[in-house]
Amino acid sequence: MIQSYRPETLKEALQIRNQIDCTVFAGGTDLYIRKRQWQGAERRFDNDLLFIHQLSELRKIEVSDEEIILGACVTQSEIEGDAYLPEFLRMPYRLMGNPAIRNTATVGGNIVNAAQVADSLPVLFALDSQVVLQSIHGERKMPTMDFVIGKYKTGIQTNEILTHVMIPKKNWTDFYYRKIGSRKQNILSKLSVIVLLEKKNDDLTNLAISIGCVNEKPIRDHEIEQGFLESGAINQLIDQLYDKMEGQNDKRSSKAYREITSLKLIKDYLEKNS
Amino acid sequence: MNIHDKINRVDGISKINGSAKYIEDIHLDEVFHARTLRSGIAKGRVKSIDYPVDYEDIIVVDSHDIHKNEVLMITTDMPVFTPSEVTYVGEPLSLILGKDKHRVIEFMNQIKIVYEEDEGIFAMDACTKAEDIFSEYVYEKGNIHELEYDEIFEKVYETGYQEQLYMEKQGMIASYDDHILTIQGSMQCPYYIKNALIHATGLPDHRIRVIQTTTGGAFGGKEEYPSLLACQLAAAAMKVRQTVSLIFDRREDILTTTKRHPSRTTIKSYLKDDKILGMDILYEIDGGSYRGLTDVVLQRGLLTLTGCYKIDHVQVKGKAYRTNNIFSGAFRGFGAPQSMFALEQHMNQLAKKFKEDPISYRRKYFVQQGDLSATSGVFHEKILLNQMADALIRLSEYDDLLAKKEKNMGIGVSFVPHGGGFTGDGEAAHIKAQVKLKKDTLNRVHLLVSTVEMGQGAKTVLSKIVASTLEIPIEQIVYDDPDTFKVPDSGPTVASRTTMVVGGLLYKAALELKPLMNNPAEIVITKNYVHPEEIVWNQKSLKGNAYLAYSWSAVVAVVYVDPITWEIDCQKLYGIYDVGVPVDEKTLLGQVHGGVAQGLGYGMMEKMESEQGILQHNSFSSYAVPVMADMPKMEVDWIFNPYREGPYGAKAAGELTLVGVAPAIAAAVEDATGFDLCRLPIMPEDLVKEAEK
Repeated sequence: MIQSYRPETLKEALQIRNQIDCTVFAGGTDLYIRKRQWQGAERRFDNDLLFIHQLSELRKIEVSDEEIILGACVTQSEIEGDAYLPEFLRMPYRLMGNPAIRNTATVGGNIVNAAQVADSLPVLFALDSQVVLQSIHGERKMPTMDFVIGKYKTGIQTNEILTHVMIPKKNWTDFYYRKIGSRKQNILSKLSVIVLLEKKNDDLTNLAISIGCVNEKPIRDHEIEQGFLESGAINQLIDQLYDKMEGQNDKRSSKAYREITSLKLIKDYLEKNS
Repeated sequence: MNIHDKINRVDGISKINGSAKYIEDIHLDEVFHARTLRSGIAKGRVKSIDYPVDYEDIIVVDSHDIHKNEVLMITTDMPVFTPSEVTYVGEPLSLILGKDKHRVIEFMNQIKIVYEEDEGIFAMDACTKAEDIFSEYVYEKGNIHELEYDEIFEKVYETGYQEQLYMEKQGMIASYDDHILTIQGSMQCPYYIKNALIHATGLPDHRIRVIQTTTGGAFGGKEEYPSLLACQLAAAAMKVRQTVSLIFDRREDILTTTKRHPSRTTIKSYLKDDKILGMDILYEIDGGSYRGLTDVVLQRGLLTLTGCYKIDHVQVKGKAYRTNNIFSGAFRGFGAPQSMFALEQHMNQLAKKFKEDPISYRRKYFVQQGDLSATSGVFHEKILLNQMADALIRLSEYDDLLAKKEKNMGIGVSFVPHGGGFTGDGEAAHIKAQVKLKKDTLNRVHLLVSTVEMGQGAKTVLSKIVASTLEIPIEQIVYDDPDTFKVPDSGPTVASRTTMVVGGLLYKAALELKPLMNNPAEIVITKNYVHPEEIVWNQKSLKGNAYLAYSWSAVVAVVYVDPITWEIDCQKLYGIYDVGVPVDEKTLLGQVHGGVAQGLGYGMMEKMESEQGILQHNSFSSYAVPVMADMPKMEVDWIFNPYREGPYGAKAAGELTLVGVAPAIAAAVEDATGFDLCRLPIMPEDLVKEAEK
């Protein structure tokens, strides 16, 4: 028999996490589906379960002049509906799944699950967000783009819980987000693209680009962006991004379609806006 | 009640408030849950199945437990359980029964199967031997071989699988009490199932009872396939003498039940002075490993292959192949969505070649009353294709659409026929429908038919026909879900025959009952199908009237193709339909909207591919059907063209509304992009490939 734990406080949760090899369960929209076996039969987990959805410490959205802090158990719907958050953050969440999924799926869950098609990762990569990982021994922070190692792989330790995501505030003046799927709503992405710009008096002063679903984890490269800020050479930027692509054909789309389309979207936007 | 009254669906409220019980909603205390053990390979033999021991609560049901190990469909080539020979991935080997689902799962996880695997056939091109061909037909009209032509315009068109994706999955419950075998479940054809059970169990007619339960969609997917499940469950219930339930999971349903036949159509048009002199057509479909209804699907695809057009010289060949792919079967349209896509795209490409407007170009070839069909049968009815074209031009403001067409926009049209009822003399030779109307002593009128409500509106339409004819309130009509102990065989709920054929018989029965309504006694009126004399068909030569009557559709689709992502947005869809006289306009509108959704999916979204016999798109997340946001703005209308034999002049409607959608969309995408598009579904991935050429 497996045990399930539903602690009242984060402190208690961290203690349980430290003592027991368990699966951390937030919204459950991925975990629960994966354990499906036969309709009407229970979904049986192999590991003990630690429920964290109820922890009030992890359910807050805090906005200050310096940063935005999202609790790991903030739901996607809450992001979607929070008018204090910038549109470039809300839009990717709004286009994920369907209302029922977004009502329970969490910010932290989408990161820790680290699916290739996780739509929150490109925007979190582009925003230079950091994840906060806590254990009974303390906390550590690392860039989300380093935390996610690959498809379903992250750097989380067995005694840690991802508690927050910190997004530094920058002066983005414009952004472009596009999610491509095989229908208009309620569909996993074939690819997604986010571009953020900061312009001062028509001069491009900062830029962030991230591309989702093409590789096992989203593409984000500061050096390429910096090069473009200096040179303004769009074709060179596109070529450099292309060199980072190592996708495969799968049942959702083709390598060629993902690569060509994501680069064309970026090129088209930059030609019109940079 | 008057036939022109606007009414709500008679089954609407129970489905909205949840009181309608689908098979999965029926909870029984003591029931064996059955799960199917399936082959993991596509072709070969099962050398041994090693079932775990010490599971006294688990029962295995296999080919040894059935009187005759054959599923009667049209032929009997499919076994209920394969004893050894495996022909496709997912072929049933046995049913595993248990009262505790977890014990069944545990048991199944330990089963070891040893196979001797052979190389399978997964492509039509690999079907080289005679045994790889299920059926082959050829028919001719005029003389294609001695034409004096300038050039041949030849194209090859292909279509992929499509999944019915009914909201309610396959499911059945069987019991065997007091020597009566009862099967309840989600189905289209109670009597197909009953006949299959008589064949497989050896039980006499009066000991088999089939009851339809509320059915949440079918689209052909519950035409022949449930016969297999019923035979399996019969074996199980008769073995354990208790109730056994078999309800599929979604993924299992997608992976192992019938799909629309993949097809390839080669059309050669012989041209002289820009005129089509003749067409030489080869239509090929992949039937999977068992015959099922493949032969009939092939025929429906073939027999109207010149569509709405009068072509004097025609040769049509059809071939259905046996492969080790998934079992292909019935699906709304039944062979016609494939062949009509090919023909319509061909007509578009000819119009493009001659730089003519696609509607004007088609008009030159429209068939008329008195013309000969592709199978040389006389079109007896009035054909209003020109009027439909005029109506479509008005409705869509076609000239304005063309004038205001912006970059990356495309406009496409299609004109298609669809035959109502069974092919050829099928209604008379095979189905022999019978209906009964019973007036009880409370003056309620019971519709006694085996026709099922499966979401399409049969209960509403048939009740309305009878209530209108009797001039009584529709509330006085009783139409229960069919139970073969209570209703005669009015035929299967397929082939767009429900309103036209079954409704026609009920109409005649109601006319006969009407003068007797004041009689206080219980009265039963019986009507048997009588074939119209002028409908003559020779099944051997495939000559004559292939269908009782044709319905027609004319569709304009407007698409926008994103120049960067190649995503297709079908923005508007206009349709004009000739279904005789619609007996219930709301129901017809529902059929149109559903047909557009399913046709849109078929045309530009629902990609389903098989690799080594295994379907790759096997879930809601990988197999994308349209959602509301994908639907175009729809404007539709119908013209009245009463059909003498139909109730109130009605003809077929159900399948027609799907058939013309994908061809119109394909034509529109072709118009927007300039590419020659010969394969459905049209995916952005394919357009990128075209653009990179």
